[in-house]
Amino acid sequence: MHNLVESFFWASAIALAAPILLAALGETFAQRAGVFTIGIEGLMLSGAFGAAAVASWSGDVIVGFAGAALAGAVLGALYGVAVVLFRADQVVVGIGFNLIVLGATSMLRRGLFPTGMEVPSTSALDRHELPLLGDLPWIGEVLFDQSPIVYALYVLTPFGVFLLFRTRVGLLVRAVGDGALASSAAGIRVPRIRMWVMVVNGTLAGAAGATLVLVNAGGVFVDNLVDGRGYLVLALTMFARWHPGWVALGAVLFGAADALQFIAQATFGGHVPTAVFLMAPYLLALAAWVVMGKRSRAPSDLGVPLLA
Amino acid sequence: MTQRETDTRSGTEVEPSRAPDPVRGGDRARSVERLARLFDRPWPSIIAAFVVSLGIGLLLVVLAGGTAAEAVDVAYRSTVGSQQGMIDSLVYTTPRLLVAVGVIVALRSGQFNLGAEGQLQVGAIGAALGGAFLAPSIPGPLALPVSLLLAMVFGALWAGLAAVLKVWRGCDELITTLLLNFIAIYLVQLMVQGAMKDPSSTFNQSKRVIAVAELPRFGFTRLHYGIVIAVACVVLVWFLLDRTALGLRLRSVGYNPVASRYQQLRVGRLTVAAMLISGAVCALAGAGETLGVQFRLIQGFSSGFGFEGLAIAFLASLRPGRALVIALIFGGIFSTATRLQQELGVTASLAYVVEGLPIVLLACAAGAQALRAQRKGIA
Amino acid sequence: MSGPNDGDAALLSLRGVCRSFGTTKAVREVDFDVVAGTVHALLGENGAGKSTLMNVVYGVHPADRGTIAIGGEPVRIESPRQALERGISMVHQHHQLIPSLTVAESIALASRNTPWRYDRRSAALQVTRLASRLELELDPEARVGELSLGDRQRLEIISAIDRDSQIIILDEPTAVLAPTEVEPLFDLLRGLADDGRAIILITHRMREVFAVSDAISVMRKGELVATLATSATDPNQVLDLVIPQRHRLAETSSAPGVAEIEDVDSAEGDLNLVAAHLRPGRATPGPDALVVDALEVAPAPGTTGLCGLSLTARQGEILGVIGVEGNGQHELVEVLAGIRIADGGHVVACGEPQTRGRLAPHTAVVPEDRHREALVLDLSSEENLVLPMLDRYSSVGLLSRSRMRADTRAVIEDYAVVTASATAPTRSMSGGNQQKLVLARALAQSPKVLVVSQATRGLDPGATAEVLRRLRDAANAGTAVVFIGSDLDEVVEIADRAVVMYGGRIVGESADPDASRDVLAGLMVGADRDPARD
Repeated sequence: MHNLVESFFWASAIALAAPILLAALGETFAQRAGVFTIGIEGLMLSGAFGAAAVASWSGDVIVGFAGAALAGAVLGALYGVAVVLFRADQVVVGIGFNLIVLGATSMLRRGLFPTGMEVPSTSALDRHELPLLGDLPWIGEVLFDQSPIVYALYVLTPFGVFLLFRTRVGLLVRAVGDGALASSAAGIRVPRIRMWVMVVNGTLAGAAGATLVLVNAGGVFVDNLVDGRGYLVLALTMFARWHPGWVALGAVLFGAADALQFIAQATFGGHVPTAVFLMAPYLLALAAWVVMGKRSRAPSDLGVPLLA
Repeated sequence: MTQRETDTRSGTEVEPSRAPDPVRGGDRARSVERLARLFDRPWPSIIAAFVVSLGIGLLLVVLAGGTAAEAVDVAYRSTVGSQQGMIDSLVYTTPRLLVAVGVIVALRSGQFNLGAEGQLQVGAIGAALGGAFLAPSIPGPLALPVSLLLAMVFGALWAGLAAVLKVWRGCDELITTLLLNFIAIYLVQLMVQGAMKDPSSTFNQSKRVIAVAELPRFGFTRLHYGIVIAVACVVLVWFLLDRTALGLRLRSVGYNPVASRYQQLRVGRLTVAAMLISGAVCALAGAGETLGVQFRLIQGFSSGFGFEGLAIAFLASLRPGRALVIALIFGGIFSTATRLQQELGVTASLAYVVEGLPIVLLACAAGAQALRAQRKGIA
Repeated sequence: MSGPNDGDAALLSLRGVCRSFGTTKAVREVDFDVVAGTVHALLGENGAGKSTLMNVVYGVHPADRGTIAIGGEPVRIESPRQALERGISMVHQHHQLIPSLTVAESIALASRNTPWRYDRRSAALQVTRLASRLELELDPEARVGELSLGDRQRLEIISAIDRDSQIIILDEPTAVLAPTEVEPLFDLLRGLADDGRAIILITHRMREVFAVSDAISVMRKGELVATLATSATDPNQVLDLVIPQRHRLAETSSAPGVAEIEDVDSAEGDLNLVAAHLRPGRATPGPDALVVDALEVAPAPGTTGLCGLSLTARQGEILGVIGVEGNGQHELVEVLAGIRIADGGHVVACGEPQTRGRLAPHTAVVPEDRHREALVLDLSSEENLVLPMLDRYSSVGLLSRSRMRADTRAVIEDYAVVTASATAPTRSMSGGNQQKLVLARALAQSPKVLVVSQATRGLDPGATAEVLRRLRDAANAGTAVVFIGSDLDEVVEIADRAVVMYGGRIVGESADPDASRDVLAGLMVGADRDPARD
């Protein structure tokens, strides 16, 4: 089991945590504002497709990444139109939205790229060792020899905490999710705030999808690439009690569960079927739920459309 | 009012003090009310939503290089226009209908069972276990019933797990059932890679189900008796919910757990009961595919029936009778999409778009209507 | 202080304001003026349109027709946001606060000029500054959910001052307050008026009107029927405006008529219109039916829990349990219904101990919240009716729909319940009809002990009288009725014996509630006890 302390294992864990954390940060804000985005699965999938498609056209992964974020933002806004402006039921829209995105991305892939997508060099998003910090023993290898996306998350996560608890924006987001009617009566434009949050949620989910396809999958998009990670994000957001810090920690644990398969060969000699490792993050999420389940208090208006 | 809602009791005591969070329960229940009324809309608006959605589907076919005329022709031939079309449609209807009536039991009881996919996956494991492994060593006439029963038990336990976690640990069943979906999918993979793998095959699949354990078919078509089971489930679920004391208790808990507790209903037990029944019915969808279509356990036998079934349940206002109609439409859509792929090269995934759109459209219409009513004060 | 309509330019002025809900005209053609520097009381029965009118002003329910002017300038108000921008604030009956935020956060949230960065320290400073200006104390870091109802109200008022609102509307602010908190609130309101603000006070308590207001407007059936200067009128005149039919009601009642109002205090309850006198000649009480011994339930924010509550109800009597809400009544009902397991104590009904987590034996409970606790609104009348007696209406698990329907029709007829049909969802019924159904269900179980909580809340006079009559009938038939209420006059009206609940226990008992009304009133607010109540 010495493999579990190897820097390679934890470096992989953090790399694999990146897409989950990106999406979960957005979902944390969305749920704090009262929007339960079952459709995050679809938002991530659209981001993944957008990234692959744009990168393939432009030949540049950075452009692809930006395209994914944009696609996510647009779909997040559309999703918001349904659940925020039209007050549609959030669970129902989520189920429908995921079906639509699954079908649409699959159609678009075959329609637009009948001969397959051309995967450009993803080197821009590959690991880049940071000077000085990267030289630190173990820590340097784990934390500072990572993709730029991971570095962005080092900034984004604390910023999320700051935004949520130390700014007026955060105050508004929390108020809107914990007392939508009260906020509305206090003159706050609840729909407007929820719409913005959905755009942010979509953007981050899109970026998460882009990370999945461009970094984790080496630029190859396949149908249903996200494969349930959106639901992991939902679970993570909730058992991390809607706090970006706990979300980050939980994401790394998921990453670790995912990374188990890389050291499995060495540790278990390849006798364990791959399905066990694929299952691991979901089992971990379930276990986390069982442990945390009762203690967390959800935003009061989570999932409830504002009727006012 | 708000103060009361914070029940600070911790205890591991029996039911009453557990009701740890009447509020969340209440809120969720409120959303079940919303759901039921959400789509309780006149047929014309449901038809309108389907028309819009089919129109968009048609547009997508044209964009993908087909022509509208061809698409309509294919749609006709793959549904009511030919015997083969009708049979295909019914075959595609079967698992979706079973899932739909299964989740209706849970939803009407206030349980957000989004885990139909997982339940049908373990149902398939159960069916394969019965049909391919147990059946050779039990009397022939028992092979099929035992296989179906095994599937139902597996599905019930899988769903019951989420219910127990909810009652015992307060875990939101919406999330746990979603997670259990993926665990079940990988469990199937695990089975066909390992324990249940057919050693004589290079593919990851189980041994073939023996002939007596197969679901009988209509004549020489590929339509199996799963459709009969599904229609029977429609009637049984309607009867359960509308005509039995248990059904009334379940609905009462679904709409208002707090008031139900005042009337001495045992909310925890009813929660588990609802999920057990729901899981058992959903599992039949997996059993039908295994014993009637694939004849062995294979990976990926379900193209997301679980979520399509949910979509049907929503569109049917959680009513079993309507679910039958909507499921037939969904079966037709899938049959059409499959043939479009064969004949025009349009991806069959088109079906998901055409199925997903009406839900979103109707949900938006219902939400907007609720908002308007609230603003006018005629809620 | 100048009276209304005497030439002063009104700060707020409504002309011809109408607002309908569906086909109901909640507010019709109202002209209403409020002068700066005054406290203006708005009176009327439940459903007279007071709250609706103020919700029109605050933009919650924008007016269908009519004009609103502030300081003589016509304005459009279509959302609370616009109202706030015009300097109008409203303190709602059910507080519009977010329990998870702190006091400082709540004020910063509502404030007009919070910088983008929320700084905890400067926000706290702002709260302290505002509070001290109003001579109040509020911990800026306290969570709103943990504040007392009085503190929440003060928080909302502070927030209104922070926004520099010139017009402050309070919707029945004293309904949730302990009597000791009322006086300081009125001092605060007077002070605000003296600063030149206009305060509108919705209430139906006559004493408060005369204690604090400068002007009185009375609404009836959606119309504003009169505006008077407080100094130029008296309680009887105002009461006649509010309830013109009260004399007629008194005459038709079988019992002695409603006495002419002698003093302000006893006029209070009359607005609730309990006209029917239902007390029989006091029968000799039977043996003990319900014995509650030393119940303990831990306190929670907003409620005292139960600390050693004991009471006994006897067969054939109505025991009134009177108290300000939040003194443990809800917990008591929950324990008796088996919803909550007490931390200590026992319940014995008709000699049988209550099983943990089940309803007390031979007992039926009518909880206070019809929508949340008593009825399943989406089920039909017949389904709701049989819920607690399903065994009677099913065999081998199958429902007997025909029997359900027949019995429901009988109840509908017997209780004169107005509903579309036995199969229509109870959601569509009015509160009074819902309550009749709930009561009929409780009585159908032939309980030996009947516990009802806030049984007449929100009911119109007709339904109130019907409910009280049924309870009296039940008592006469030998049931022990425990009548939990917060309206002293109503409890005095119906109870054979009364106990006062305060701080989660019984603090006093009276075998003749009518005669000891004043003592009971004192006990309700904790007289002769430690006044410090958190």
